[in-house]
Amino acid sequence: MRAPFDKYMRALSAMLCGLALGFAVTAATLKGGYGFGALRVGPWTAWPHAGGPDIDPYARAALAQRGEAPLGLDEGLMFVASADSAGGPLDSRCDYRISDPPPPARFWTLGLASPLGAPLANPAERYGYTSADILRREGGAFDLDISREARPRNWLSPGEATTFVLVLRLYETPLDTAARLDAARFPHIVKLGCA
Amino acid sequence: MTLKDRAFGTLPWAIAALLIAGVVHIVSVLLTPFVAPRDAYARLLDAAKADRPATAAAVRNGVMLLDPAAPGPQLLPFEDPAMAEGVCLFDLGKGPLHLRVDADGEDYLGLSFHRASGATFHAMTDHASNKGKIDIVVANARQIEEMEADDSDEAPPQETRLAAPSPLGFVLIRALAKRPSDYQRARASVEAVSCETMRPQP
Repeated sequence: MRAPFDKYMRALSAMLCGLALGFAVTAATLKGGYGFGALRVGPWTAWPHAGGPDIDPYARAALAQRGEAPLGLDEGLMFVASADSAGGPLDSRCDYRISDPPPPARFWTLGLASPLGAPLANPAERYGYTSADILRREGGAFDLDISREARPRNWLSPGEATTFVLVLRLYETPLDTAARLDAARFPHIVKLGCA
Repeated sequence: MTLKDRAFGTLPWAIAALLIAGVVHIVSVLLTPFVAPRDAYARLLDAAKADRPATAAAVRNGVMLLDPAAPGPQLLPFEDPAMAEGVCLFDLGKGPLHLRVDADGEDYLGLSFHRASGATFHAMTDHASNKGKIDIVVANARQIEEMEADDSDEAPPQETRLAAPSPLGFVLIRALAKRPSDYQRARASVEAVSCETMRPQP
């Protein structure tokens, strides 16, 4: 014969397991991304819904938890890349080259940030380029080198950070966020080599 | 007791735990925007209260000027270092917010309107200006009704009225510095924005 409170113990442990599991799933879903509706183009990811009126509860919760104030969809769209075009994660010990085509927008900026969204300290004190101040080749195309060592022309350094993400912000872009975007029309991120 | 009996005995409890987990997950996701302690509004309010020049440089015409994004802890994460930024906090319980911008139409200037939790409920750029001017009143539904009742029939209202979905929130003003040397100019165009709480008429 079992103890009479055996069932109560089982109910209690089921409840506690449920609570822990529920909070764990919430923490996991809010940790990366902004819920559903991610727009992926090659290595770049944007969440157009996070800046619009049709924001979903997961995006709302993620924004509130991180204290972010995203760009409105009518202002622009922020794309983040944490991997290169071949799919390998971005590593600050490696050199990368980001090359054209420039995305369609009234202005754009391209910079490095920590995975938490802070600019990265670097000796050049440059955190990004804008479409107006990046040096272009004839015809308007550009290359941007990412390396800890100084490079001529367009160069960004991740400094002492171990991981970083690339942030591409398109201000007043005519992109149709409901359509599937063509990765060939977005900048390529190519790994050149690792130290 | 065989293994099978044991499994059948545990199964209802496992199902119960999963159901509870599902409910807890949904409720916690829905509640997070209301209970998150460090949401964008709380961060900006702290910065406005603290007289630390490191986070909030100055308040001018009701606009709190933010320092450019720099390495280290962020006031708001994922802000563009190429932008000069300013913030107007609003509390519609104290009255509607009147926002006036002179846009030169040449350089990008963006306005995004946020709930306290950070979600954007409206956004526009200098391209939406009328003869170089943007004139917006952020108010709740009742205040907008009152304003409409006061409107005279001859003169249409000058300002755009925007209904805010929450009583607390903020407007983020972003002006692009195309080159690092343009930063002061971009900051000046943020300084030229004015935010004013409209007091109820006595």
